[in-house]
Amino acid sequence: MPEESNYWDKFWRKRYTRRRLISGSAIAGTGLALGAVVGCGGESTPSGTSGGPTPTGGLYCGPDATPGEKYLCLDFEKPVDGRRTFEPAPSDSRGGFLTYIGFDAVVLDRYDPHQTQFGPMYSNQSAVFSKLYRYASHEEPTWENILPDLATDAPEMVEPAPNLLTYIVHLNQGVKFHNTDKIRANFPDLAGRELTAEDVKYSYDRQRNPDSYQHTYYYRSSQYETIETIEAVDKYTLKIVTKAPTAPFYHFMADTNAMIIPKEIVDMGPGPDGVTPWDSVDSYKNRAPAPSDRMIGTGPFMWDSLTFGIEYRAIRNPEWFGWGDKSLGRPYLDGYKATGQGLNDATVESLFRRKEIDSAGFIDNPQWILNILDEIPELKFSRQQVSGWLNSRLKLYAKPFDDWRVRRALFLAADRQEIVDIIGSGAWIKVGPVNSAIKYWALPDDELLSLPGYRVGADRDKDIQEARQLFEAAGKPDIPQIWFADVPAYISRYAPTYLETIKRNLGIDQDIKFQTVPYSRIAEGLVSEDAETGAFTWGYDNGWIDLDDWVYPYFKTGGPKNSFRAADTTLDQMLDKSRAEFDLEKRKQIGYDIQRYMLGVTNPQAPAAHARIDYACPGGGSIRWPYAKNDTSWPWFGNQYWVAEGWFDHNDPSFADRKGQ
Amino acid sequence: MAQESAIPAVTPAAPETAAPRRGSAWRGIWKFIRKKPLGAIGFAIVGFLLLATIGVPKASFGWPSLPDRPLGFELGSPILQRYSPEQNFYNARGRVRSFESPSSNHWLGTDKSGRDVWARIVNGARRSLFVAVWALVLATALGAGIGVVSGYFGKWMDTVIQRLMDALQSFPPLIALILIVTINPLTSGPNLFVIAIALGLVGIPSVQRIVRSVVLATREQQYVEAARTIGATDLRTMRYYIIPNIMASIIIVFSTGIGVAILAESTLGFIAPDKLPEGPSWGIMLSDAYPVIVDHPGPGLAAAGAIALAVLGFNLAGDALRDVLDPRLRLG
Repeated sequence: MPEESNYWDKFWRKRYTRRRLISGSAIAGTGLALGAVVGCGGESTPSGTSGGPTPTGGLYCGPDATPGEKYLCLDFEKPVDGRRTFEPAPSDSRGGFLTYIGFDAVVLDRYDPHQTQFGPMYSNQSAVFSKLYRYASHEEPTWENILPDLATDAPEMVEPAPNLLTYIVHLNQGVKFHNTDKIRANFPDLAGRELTAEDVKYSYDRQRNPDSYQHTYYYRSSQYETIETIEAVDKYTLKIVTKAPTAPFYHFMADTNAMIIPKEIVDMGPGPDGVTPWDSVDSYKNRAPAPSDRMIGTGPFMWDSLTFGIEYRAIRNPEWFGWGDKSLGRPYLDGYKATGQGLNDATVESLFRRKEIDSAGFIDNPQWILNILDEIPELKFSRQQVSGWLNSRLKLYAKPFDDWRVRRALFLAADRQEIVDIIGSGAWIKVGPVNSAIKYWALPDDELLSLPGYRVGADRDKDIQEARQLFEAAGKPDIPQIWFADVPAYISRYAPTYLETIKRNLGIDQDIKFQTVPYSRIAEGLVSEDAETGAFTWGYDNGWIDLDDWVYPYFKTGGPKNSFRAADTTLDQMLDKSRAEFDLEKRKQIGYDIQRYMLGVTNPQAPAAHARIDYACPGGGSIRWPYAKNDTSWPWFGNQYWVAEGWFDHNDPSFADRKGQ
Repeated sequence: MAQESAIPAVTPAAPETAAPRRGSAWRGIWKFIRKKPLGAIGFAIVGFLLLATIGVPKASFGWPSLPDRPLGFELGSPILQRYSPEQNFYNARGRVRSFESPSSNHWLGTDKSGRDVWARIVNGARRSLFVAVWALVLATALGAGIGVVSGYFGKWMDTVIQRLMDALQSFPPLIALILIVTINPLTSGPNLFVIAIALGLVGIPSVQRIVRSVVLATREQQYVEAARTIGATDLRTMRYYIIPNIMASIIIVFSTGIGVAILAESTLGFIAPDKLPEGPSWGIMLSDAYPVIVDHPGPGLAAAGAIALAVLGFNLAGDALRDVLDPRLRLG
């Protein structure tokens, strides 16, 4: 009998063919390679963001600067605003449509100039409707930089400050409302009618009428509630008396949506209850004429068309009063167009290079600006910090935001530098309660950037530690669903990173829900009685001009923008004090104190501290072809009447192959 | 010896009549590669995608959830990912390392938020694959059922069903997809299962049409007639005589459909990124990369390349599978 063989005998006697050896080696090699891949990963953490080295701060222009840093290091023209020297257009350089890409065509709000909250709508309407006054500069929003619009000159201020109560305003004569075939068909009594003091009185009274059906939608009502009486002394003279000396009142008359509208365009038919007048330009159930057909003012341009997301178009008003000087023949252009198509940098760059648009800025990729300025040095580049900014609003009457520790923890945990880098590609700027685009009123940068929540380096680690301690002391409550705005798209793209950062910095592992919602829904949520609806929002807010706009409506108890339902008597006193202080320097200091209070510097446990968490704003800026003259740039929307002074230099070499209309 | 002589000698069979020696698996694979090189490439790509989705399983069981627990147990992080897909990388000055070029640290570079593109591609593979698989399970199950019933019974039932399917198919599939995920009555926010269901529902008309055509041919076979003759009910006939004989076609539809589903899911992510839950997704990566595609093409090309490779792989594999399983070709 053959000897029994055991396993090892068989093993050693087994013949291995060459093929088997090769295939075995291949399998082993593959396994080793996989092992190398798995084992040799770089900086790895089990999950979430790495929370890498803390930014060292300051502007860096070295060779390895990020594109955003290089953008901020570019030489640029000082922003050209209304203070620039006006250069009239020669007779051979008239006509054409200024074209640009912007959010003007992405109107998501109401048509009513006194109710809209949407910045781009301010722009659309600013060319169509006039105001009593206008700003020559938002950067220095002092009285010296407020110019007349419908008024002939600055108001007569009867009593001397600080007791100033009475303003006498004289209007330009012969100012006519727009007049076209369509307007004549819809509003025969309005077309070409002269604007009078009664129209101004109507526009102001409407926004302070507590009985109006639309009362809650007049978001500037806190400005007009300062008026005691407004009287049309005669056809071209107004007398306005305020309830108390109100330092920003002159500003109120020049603010971006202090539009003067004719009563004919307001739908005063019955509203839902069948009795109460509807009182809105957004007619009830689109009762004819449609809201877009009601955009009739006295501005340099007339509303032509708005196709949502595609284009807004305004055409020249040949009867424009020209700010008291019709002889200049303004507007020089036939009109202007804002296209909202393809609001992304690749499309913008392509259109700009082909001269289908005349000016452009970057949306979230500054690289193309760097490239094109290298290629075409004759382009005009100006940088204008945007005064709109990203912030979060917390409902103080919703748990857990009624606990100051939770609010401060979220305030400290938010990584503003990350927002600057990820959303803004490094070209954005961290901002506080008053955006530093309005340097006059904003807390100085060197102070803001040294405060908790804004500082970098080792101090940032301290802030994170404090955030964790506070959140833990508050019992690590569940954070409600966060509503991120849907426009621009980079907000919702950043949302997951924001959540990861918050969780990492607070040391929690909650599943924080979020959804992307339109601004109209956010607005509804903010005023909703339901505490949980829109309790934590994240998106843009309009940029403002005067200190009052940044703080008073938001934080005054009962203020029209006080969606937080903050009721803080200390803050109320500071806000009232700022309204009564006519000395600009003193008012500025009060403004600083208010900002420090809101940032929790004075008292982190204050009832209103951190109700609004401010993050960052776009660095902003624009390039334009040299043929586009008298172009101005502004921190925010609402200044399109300045296009009345724009013109195309037909003799400039760059104009030759312009493709636009 | 007597016992030894009682055992008849076994004469080995002549070589020409001996039973054929079974080849080894490797031989079969090599033969397949030689005969169907494109199919082999397709399977290699599919294999790589599957490898990309594999992680060290965790003992965490529950209802299937996408993308990390598609089969009811936690898959663990993909072993090929190197880094977390949401991990941001910073330079020495603490600034985000956006749009870095490919390097040994980041094989496909980084995206705008300084995240490793390779990690996001790998995680996106898991998401796309399992959404597609679930979608095809639904589409195949329902589509095959409808196709079998329609093809077997014929006459007015076939007419009614086919006209209904025509009506459904005439609706633009992408619009239908967006509508379904927007309306989404099942969950409070974007959900991958809802997307899988939507993809599956949209795919039913195509699947049933293919299955129906095969059933029309199969029901005329003699064995089916024989089954009916001996008294088999319709249900029994369909279950034991029709369906087993069309399984090859169903498998082919399933495998080729996965590529289509991956493409559809990516398209949805590109066009309507807010309809998808957060997390790495090839379509969303493409949507994020599009605005900067001119100056920073890397992340966009990586996502597009992954989508193209996946679709190509499943198409090639499906074609090869069809060639292998199709009886007509095998007899040839």
